[in-house]
Amino acid sequence: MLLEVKNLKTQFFNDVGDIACTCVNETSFEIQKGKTVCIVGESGSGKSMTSLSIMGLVEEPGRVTGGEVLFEGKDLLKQNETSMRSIRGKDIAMIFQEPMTSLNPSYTVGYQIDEVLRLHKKELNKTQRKQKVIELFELVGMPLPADKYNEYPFKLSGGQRQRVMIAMAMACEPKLLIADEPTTALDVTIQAQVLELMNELQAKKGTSILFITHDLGVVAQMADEVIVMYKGNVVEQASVEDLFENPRHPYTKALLNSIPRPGKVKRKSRLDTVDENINYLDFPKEIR
Amino acid sequence: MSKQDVVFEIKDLEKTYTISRGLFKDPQVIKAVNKINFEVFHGETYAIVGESGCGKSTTAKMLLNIEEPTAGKIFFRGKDISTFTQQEWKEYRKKVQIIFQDPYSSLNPRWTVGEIIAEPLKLNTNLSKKEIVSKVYEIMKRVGLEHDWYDRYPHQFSGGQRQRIGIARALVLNPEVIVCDEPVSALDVSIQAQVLNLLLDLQEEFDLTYVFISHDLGVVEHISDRIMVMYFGDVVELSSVDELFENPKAEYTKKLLSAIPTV
Repeated sequence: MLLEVKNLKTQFFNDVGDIACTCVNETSFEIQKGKTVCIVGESGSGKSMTSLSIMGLVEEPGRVTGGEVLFEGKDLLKQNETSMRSIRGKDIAMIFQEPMTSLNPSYTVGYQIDEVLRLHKKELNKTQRKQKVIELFELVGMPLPADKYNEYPFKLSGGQRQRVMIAMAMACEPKLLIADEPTTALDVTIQAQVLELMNELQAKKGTSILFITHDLGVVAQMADEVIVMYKGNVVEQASVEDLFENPRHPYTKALLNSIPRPGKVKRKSRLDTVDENINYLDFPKEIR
Repeated sequence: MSKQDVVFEIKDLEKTYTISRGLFKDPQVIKAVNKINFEVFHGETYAIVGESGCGKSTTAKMLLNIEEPTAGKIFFRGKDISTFTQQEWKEYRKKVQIIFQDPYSSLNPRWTVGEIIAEPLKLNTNLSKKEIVSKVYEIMKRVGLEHDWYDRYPHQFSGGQRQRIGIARALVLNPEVIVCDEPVSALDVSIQAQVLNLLLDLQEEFDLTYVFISHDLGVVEHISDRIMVMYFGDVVELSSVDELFENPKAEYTKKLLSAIPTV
């Protein structure tokens, strides 16, 4: 067991200190070594907040108010900032949705990946680090890896930027990779390449992946286990086969039926929708 | 199809952009749309698909005369739009409307919903104030916006509701054609379904023709009759939905189809 999240609770508070919103409510799940767990849900369902809570990156006025996040048996919520820093980037790395805003525009991409190695791999000297960065570029399938070291982010395409982000995340061979909508801003063919790359890296390095997305197609392609979130709560949790073949929770069913699926939904028929008047939390959780 | 049923006829349409590279270098010419030909028939949903930079939005902009073509012609109901008189332009702008991708930036934040939907009526018709207001209420009801939202501002709405405002604005002049530029790609899947359902209903009810621009082949398969696939400014394939999905011919279409993660 690599990561065990138990009854995680993240809340936001207003000026006078009352609870304004419970963004993650009593969420529990586990990630095995070498497996991929997908969190799926609509905007505001708490999926990104869950990943930020795990990394200890929730900002004021939000706070993790309960639960445990056990990473290899160690509770991350009890670590101080210094020891969290040594874990972030080294044992747990993160990829974000928008590669343009998460890269620093005024440094070369090589320098930015080098920074991770400077912080976490102090045994390497300058030449070794540069060698390692170029190897990472090769690993993520960057064209002309040696030339790319000195390029600035704006010179790269969206897909290449996301490759830089993945190279940066893989720099220290993390045990857990958290990917928050990593392909949402990309074209479908580029998305396919990035997803394939992540699967390949997982097969090579045995990395566990926590994949956050709203795209059920991507879930079907990536996940071993799926967690469906709705208004901060987990409503269904199942293996990817079970979830798609036999969805049990009404919300999951509504979500699946609302996407036009070639061959499964009659063309030009009206799609099912998630009913805004129903509180899907009234139905029991379906955890398999 | 008889000539009567052809809404748009596009002939050798071309759009190039020139980028100046400094004083002593030759400017670089970029072909956004490269001599494309197609026809749009009355009552159909004509989809234009492709990845970013393929020219699909540029094509849409030229249909609406937001961008001027570098070469080629656009015929609307058999008449070349570049020869339109002022009066004909006025008519054309009523008949051809657009719904934009981003419901957050395409609505004026300082205007109320009522003002936004009423503006096309104020500019293009001679209706009295009272008639305009009642028309706005009528259209709001039709697209699923509540009666007392008339005085609210765009920021008070969710993405799906804002897209409904955009649809109401496009619909208020009883257009023949609506160009939908990625109308659902900024929305959550469940909201996307609601908006697609609304578009399908409205098409039947008002006998609309859609030019539907999208990169999402799942959505396109569901809603359209014919599909045009674009790649770097060129049309690589043009066929009916059935044929494109069952028997794609162009290499790029095959690549595009195999890239969609399916559920």
